[in-house]
Amino acid sequence: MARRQLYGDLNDVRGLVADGLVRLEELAAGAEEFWVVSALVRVRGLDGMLVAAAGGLSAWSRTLISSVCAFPLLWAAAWAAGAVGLGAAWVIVLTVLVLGLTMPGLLWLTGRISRVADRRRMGAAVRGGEIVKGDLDEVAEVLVRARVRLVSAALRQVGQRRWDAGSLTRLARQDRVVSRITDVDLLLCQAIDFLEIHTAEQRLGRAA
Amino acid sequence: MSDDDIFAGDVEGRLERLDRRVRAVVLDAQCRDWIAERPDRVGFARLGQVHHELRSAIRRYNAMRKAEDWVWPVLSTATWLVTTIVVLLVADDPVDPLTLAFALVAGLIAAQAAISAAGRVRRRVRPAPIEDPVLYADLTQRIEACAATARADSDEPGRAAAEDLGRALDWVSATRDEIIRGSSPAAR
Repeated sequence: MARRQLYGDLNDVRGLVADGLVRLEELAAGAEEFWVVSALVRVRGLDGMLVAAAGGLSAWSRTLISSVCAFPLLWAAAWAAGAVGLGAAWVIVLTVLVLGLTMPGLLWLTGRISRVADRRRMGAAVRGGEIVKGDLDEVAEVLVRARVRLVSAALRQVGQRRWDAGSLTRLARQDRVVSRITDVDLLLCQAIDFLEIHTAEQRLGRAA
Repeated sequence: MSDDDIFAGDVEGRLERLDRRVRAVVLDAQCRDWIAERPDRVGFARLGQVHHELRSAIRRYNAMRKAEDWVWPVLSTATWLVTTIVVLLVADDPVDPLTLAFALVAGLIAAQAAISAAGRVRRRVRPAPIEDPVLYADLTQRIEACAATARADSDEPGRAAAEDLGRALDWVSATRDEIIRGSSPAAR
């Protein structure tokens, strides 16, 4: 199953990110270096985003769920309006109004179901088990490894036929999985870049 | 380009246009990095930071995120409306609760169908490549123009946005350094 593969890959990335994060939290505790703290902020949010990269509900399932929920509600509203003795035009206006009012609720509900579905697919938070002990360089290395896995997961997901920049950018705009993976990848690369800038600045400071 | 005058329009609209452009360049560079056509994970990460700062500047003017494209909301609302009205006109007794509920739900499903059909036929515009030096000159000039307008604002959001734009400019130059000189620590 291609989907199974994707969840497995994403969980591997989660494990690596969790390992890096634990060490980064330790190293950054009490530190006030701008770049380290910025990197930390980026890595902290990654786990949730990786879970969301499982894809959630498709637009069609959202619409169908909303329809199933809205139908009895609209029916009841129209029936009640008719029973009260409103005119034909008012019954229609009132029912449309009810639909407009329930729309935010339906959006909330489908978003909620989508998040629950992602959590069910991905399982609980995982730890790679490998304990990172080193300094910030090593944390950056772990994050680079996570990034490499993430990109290969994305490429495996889209399939070899579409390994060109045009198709990938189109998928990143339309496909929920690929678009979320590009977001995670961007944050990971920023965190890695920040740690590298920090290391380079430290080296310059020591040399001076 | 339709916007030759860099001071034309309000700051928010100008920033939205800039942000859309930056995002397209970031995505293009990211995808080319993925397939190793132009391997560089630093450049697009830094340009992504520009997008982040532009967004926070836009948020100071307007907390609500605008729709990317007005076509989609208009298309889906129109489809919903047309389907519902047609079903109600065709039905014998439009006020019957069952018919009414059916018409509205059918409208919802038709709107979704219209959106997914429209998603298939989208024009493809290739953005400027990240290694194009003209891009940075242009971005710098346009962001500076926005910052100048924002700083001239007498109210608070304008000045806060000008600070965000200052940081965006820093990241533009960091990206340019990385692209042109390969100054990233990773490359050394």
